[in-house]
Amino acid sequence: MIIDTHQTEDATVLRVRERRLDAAVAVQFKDAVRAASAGARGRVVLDLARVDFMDSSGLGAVIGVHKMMPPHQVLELAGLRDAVAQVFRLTRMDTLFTIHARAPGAEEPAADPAQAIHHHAV
Amino acid sequence: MPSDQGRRPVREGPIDCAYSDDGVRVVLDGSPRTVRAALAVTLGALAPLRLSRDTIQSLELVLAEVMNNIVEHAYADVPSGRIELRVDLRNGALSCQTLDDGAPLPRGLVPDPPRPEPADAPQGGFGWLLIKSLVSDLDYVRAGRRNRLRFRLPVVQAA
Repeated sequence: MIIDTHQTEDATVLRVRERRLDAAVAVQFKDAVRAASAGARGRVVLDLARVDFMDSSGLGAVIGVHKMMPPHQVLELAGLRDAVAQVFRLTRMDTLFTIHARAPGAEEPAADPAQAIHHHAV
Repeated sequence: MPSDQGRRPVREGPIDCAYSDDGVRVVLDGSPRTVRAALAVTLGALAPLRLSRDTIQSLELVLAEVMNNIVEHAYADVPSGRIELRVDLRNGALSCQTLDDGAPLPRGLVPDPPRPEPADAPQGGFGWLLIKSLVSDLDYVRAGRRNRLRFRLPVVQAA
């Protein structure tokens, strides 16, 4: 599980370099994000632009990451492809997150991004 | 890939795959890794049907959820177990069936868990919700020591 970390002016961007977030890698994913976000300051943006498949275990892992954020940090999502956006939408878990069409400083737009959804956590 | 080549039986590690004119039958030794591989084999085998991207996307998600349920629950007490998956195009829908020899579903019924609430930030309980929101005619039967789950997935025409 490879996750690249980029620090922008006001956000830590975690770019998931994995095509599938599923039952086979959910635990590694959670551990890798936990490690990658350890020194993060401010917003933490999880860039999922390379992920083209996510199942309920992957969704549970993303929510697990959200729950383990320290109180002063917020997890946001970016670059959801169609198949990934569908899982968030069908379970209504899209309402838990601020979702950006693209991560700050993302080099290239996703080849095939889902329509941008802007939900704001309450 | 020429279609006659696509009809040859495939053996890929612990996965067996046989093709028919309108569908595919895949047998796997279930584990999270083999479920992944079985999905790839199944979708590859169905490529000649030229299903829309939306249909393939929903099919992959539903089959992943169903087979992962079998691995995690029906075969919870064994390292792996046999799963047989069939997908056939019939009357404008994908007719799907899984067979496994694991533990039965609780109370012999398809679970009907409460809908997870975003406010609770739940980390599970999404599997059956996703399955039920995408399929129709969901039918579970315990026959002897075997579980059979059947359902239909509508074929969405490409926009």
